Amino acid sequence: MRRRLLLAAVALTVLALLLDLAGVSDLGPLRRAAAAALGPMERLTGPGAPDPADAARLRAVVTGGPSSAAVTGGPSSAAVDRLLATPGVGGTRLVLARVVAVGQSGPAGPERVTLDVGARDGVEVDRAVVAEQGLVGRVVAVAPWTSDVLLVGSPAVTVGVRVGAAGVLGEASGAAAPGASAPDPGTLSLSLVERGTMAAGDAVVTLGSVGGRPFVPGIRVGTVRDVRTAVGRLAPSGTLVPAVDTTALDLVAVLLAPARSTARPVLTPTAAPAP
Amino acid sequence: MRVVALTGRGAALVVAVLLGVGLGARHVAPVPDLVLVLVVAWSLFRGPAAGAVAGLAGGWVVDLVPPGAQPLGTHALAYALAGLLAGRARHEGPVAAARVAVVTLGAAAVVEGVDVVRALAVSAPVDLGAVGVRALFTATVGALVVPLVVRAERAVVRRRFG
Repeated sequence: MRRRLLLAAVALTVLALLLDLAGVSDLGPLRRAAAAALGPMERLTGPGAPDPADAARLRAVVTGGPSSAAVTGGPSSAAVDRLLATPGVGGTRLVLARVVAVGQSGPAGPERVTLDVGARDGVEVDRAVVAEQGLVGRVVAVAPWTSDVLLVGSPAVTVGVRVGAAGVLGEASGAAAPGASAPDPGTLSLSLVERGTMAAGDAVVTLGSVGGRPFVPGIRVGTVRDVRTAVGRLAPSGTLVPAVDTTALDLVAVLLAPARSTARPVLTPTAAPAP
Repeated sequence: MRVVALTGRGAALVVAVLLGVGLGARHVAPVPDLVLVLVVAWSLFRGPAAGAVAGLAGGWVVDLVPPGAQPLGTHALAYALAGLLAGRARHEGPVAAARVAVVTLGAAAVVEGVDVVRALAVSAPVDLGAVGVRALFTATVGALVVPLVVRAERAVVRRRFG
């Protein structure tokens, strides 16, 4: 009897695994329910979560836009200012968040973290997450009080990038580039997708996704570490050192919506002068 | 009584995962796999079938508690296999701490091995040194914590049967 129950449970698990892999049915509600039940507990036990000054600052940023004046004051305002000065953030609505849980480390470092902001703070799936130094990852699951982020360096994250001053188009990924061996742990693979050159030390920034989602253009990703010219390939490939150390994350920001390409002036009606 | 004991074990699994992810958020590295330690303790106390059930439950908790893992169910199967194998090492009488450590190391090798094979399959980087250090750390914590869990389980049995 007991053995049969165990076999049934294993069969159900295999079925869930196959369904999730094939994407036939969305198991998101299961994950969301678990996150709704346990997310608040993680927010309580996570570092710095119950700090009212941080919560107030967070709310000020959400309602007041990314103005540095709205978030001054409080213990870590210098960190907030530096975060808001990150390239690519200008004009974007963002939510400040803290990392409250870091998932089990994969074979080459952490791959998923939980932030203390969720759907109630306006966070949506497929939004970029940045830290002071640059790109952290993208949001993959949102619950009412928490959201899960897939980190740069995980094999499932691929970012379109521009390399160097010339802005050569390329692709950075946690898995190996086509035709190349796996990058060293702690680095990303980088392959150019057009003819061009890159050299060690070149800056790598995001290219931006269609509709600015998940990635907006101009966020720092890292610097080129080495370049290999694979035989029989049109463009060189190499590795890059990420700008963000994903093992030491604390204060991050979720970019909610890209900046408007042409800002409209705000008009304030004034009383007409007497004739 | 049985329901209370089952709820207690489930709560212990959830607390183990919450403790692990909370330590990670405080930049503790490496984080020992506390869920695996619990699974090994129950396997050594009750045998392979109970170990597999404990592993399945523990793996589901790991997969579902945020940030969880993708795809759902991988860790459940890996921990179930680890619990099944660890349960084969059960024997009557007192168990040496070194034996517990070796069994935990083997179970950790199974769980980490699944992750390493998945990474190699998509040609992602693998840091075998860090993986080994984490497994050894889990084995050390196992040798310390497993006797406490077994003592708690003995107390439950004693209370039920007098």
